[in-house]
Amino acid sequence: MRQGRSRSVAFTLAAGLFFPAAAAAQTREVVVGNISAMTGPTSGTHLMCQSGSRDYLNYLNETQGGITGKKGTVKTRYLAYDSQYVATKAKDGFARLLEQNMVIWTQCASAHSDALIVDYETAKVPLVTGSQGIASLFSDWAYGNYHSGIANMIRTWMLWRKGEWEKAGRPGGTLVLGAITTDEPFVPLALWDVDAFAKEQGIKVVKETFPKGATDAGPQLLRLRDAGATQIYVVASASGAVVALKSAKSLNLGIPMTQCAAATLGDVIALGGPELVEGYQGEFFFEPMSKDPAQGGSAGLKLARELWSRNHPKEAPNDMYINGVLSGMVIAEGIRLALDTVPPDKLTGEAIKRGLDQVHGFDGMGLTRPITYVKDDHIGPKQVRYWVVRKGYVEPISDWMPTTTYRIPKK
Amino acid sequence: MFRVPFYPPSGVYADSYEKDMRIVKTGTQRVLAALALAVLVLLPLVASSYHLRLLIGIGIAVIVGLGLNILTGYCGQLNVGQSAFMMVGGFTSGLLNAYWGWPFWAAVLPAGLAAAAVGVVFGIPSVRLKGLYLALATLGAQIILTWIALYGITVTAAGFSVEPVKLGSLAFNTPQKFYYLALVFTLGMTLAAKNLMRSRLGRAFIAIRDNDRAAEGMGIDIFRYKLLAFAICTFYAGVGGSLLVHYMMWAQLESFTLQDSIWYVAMIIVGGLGSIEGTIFGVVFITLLKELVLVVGPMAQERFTFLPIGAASGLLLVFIGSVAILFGILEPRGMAHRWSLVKAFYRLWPFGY
Repeated sequence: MRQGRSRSVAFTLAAGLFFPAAAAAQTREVVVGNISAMTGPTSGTHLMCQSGSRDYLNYLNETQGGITGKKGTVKTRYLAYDSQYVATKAKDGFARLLEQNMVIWTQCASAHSDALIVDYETAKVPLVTGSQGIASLFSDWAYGNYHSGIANMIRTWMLWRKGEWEKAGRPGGTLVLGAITTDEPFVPLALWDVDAFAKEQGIKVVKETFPKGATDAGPQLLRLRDAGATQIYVVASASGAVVALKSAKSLNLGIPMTQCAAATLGDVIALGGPELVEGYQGEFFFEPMSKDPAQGGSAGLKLARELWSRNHPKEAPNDMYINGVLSGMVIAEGIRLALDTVPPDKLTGEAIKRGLDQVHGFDGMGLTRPITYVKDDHIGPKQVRYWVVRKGYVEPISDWMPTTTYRIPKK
Repeated sequence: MFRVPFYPPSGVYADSYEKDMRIVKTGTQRVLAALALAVLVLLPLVASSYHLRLLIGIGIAVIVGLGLNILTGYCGQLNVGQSAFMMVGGFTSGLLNAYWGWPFWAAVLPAGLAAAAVGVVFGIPSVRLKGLYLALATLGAQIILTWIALYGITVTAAGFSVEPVKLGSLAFNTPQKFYYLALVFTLGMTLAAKNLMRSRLGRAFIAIRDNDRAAEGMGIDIFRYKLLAFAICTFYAGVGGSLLVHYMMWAQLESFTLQDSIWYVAMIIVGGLGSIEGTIFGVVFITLLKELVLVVGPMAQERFTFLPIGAASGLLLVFIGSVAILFGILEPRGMAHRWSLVKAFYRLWPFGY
């Protein structure tokens, strides 16, 4: 027995002497944390993001033995906690994940990333997020792969409409745009100081609100029409969007409407049906799952579809799953770059942060526009594309265009 | 030498008013109380950050729940907007700290008073409204106050960072440190509630709860006392809110939802209406049950892959709901009543009565 052990030790030492690279290559399991509202009203979106990042990292474990850099390989262990969209619960979950040696974490809830900012900065555990809060946009430890902050959705849309209006020869002399919103908690943030921006751009913006849960938005839409709105931006979750669409249809409104990124076009199609949603526009920061499969897509989209059908064979595809897959890809890229400089046993949150700081021109196998993180700017792709629903699928109606990068002032 | 009767006392007798009014009456109780206090004080030495966070959450919920039990359990006035009053306290304290530089110690009292002032305003209908109608009025408070925070004040809609509690150079910015602060506040406010309910004020509340017309006939000014109950209840909520935002070092609207208000009501019902101990039991029970869902939910989600996304964690909410229903059927008087039965059994054993 002892002789056998001595022999194996000698063999290992010899291997180390003659094949230093092989000896240096190590494999270790690291914990990737996730805190999501797995129950409650926002759970649909959160679970999709969570499934996307989990499935992608598990896929790397199964097919490639984990994530490999020049100094070794790590397998990831994905641990998730339910926050119920309660910040204190999110903090509890974060503490629990820290005790389980989490080195990087991800989530899809702006409020959480803001409430946890002290925690992840203190613990030196980087965050890769598919949804940025206000404060996290300023954090050196947060890395985004989604939109450039909630207040930029409508600003970017206004610039898109202004560009199209100018191309059309400025009909009407003044560009009048409408915004219809529900009274959901994120709405004031989405419209933050937008009047000043509109004034600066020479655009007239008319806003109307209807209560979440209402079954008719007719009066609000009529007021927007009477004010001369030529396009309407819908700041609502999917259920609110369906109410607005039904009301518009019953009024035969005839004004093109665009969904903000608070819900995806896929969600609205699933809820309202393809006929109601026909012609509805929306924005995506990635290539959406609701694109017609017959139209093909990037390698990233093909992989995401494969992961979806493998892991969720009985369910309808969801756009936010791509957001999660992208988060998983960014996490893997950060870890890979970190492993180029440190061996697996030295792979800490700080090392991964240094890896994420190196991310340059990363497009998630074509799922999004190139992501480059630089000092004071971890926003992410910063490009958006507008799509329209045709026969239950979405197709692009604009090229990729830069988003605005306004930041809501942080206290 | 201190004599400890480690046998069932078969009844506790007092031969003076002072003795009768003591909260801790027997030697056994004194020893157990000292042991419990020692365990609570020494806990951070062995407990993990996660468990301490859980205990801090319980401490804050006990403070908020105590206020609610004083109003609903003792005075009989329903309130389903407790977390909105907590929000008033939390934002008052947070804004005083973040924008005017007030330390926690200076901001906590105004936070409680601001919540109490708002609580009194929403308590005025209680003179005319009872039962479900009053519940509806407090539900209105939840909706109106949330709306004001969302649309009326821009900074509260977005959320803002708050300084940790400081005492000289000591910052209570870790669970290990904040735990002691939460412990002091929880014990202090529990004792205050216990004493308050044994005073003239508490007896007036109970009289109003049992029969407000009879209480008025006995000379109790029910308008004044009902408003006082609202003020005390919401003061507790305000202090709880202040503690919460300084603990999280972040103030945001999502921490004070209608769902939270419902949970506080559930806590005092499960624990026992009109019982200080019951509040603690209810908060601990519901918090641990929720924690079970939070921990088991994701595990179930990962294991039972044949279920649709979200089904496994959602099913556990069904479990919580079922437990609440069973509790209502099997022990409608709450855990406090079960505890009193255990104590009576201990005192009277080996006799059955």
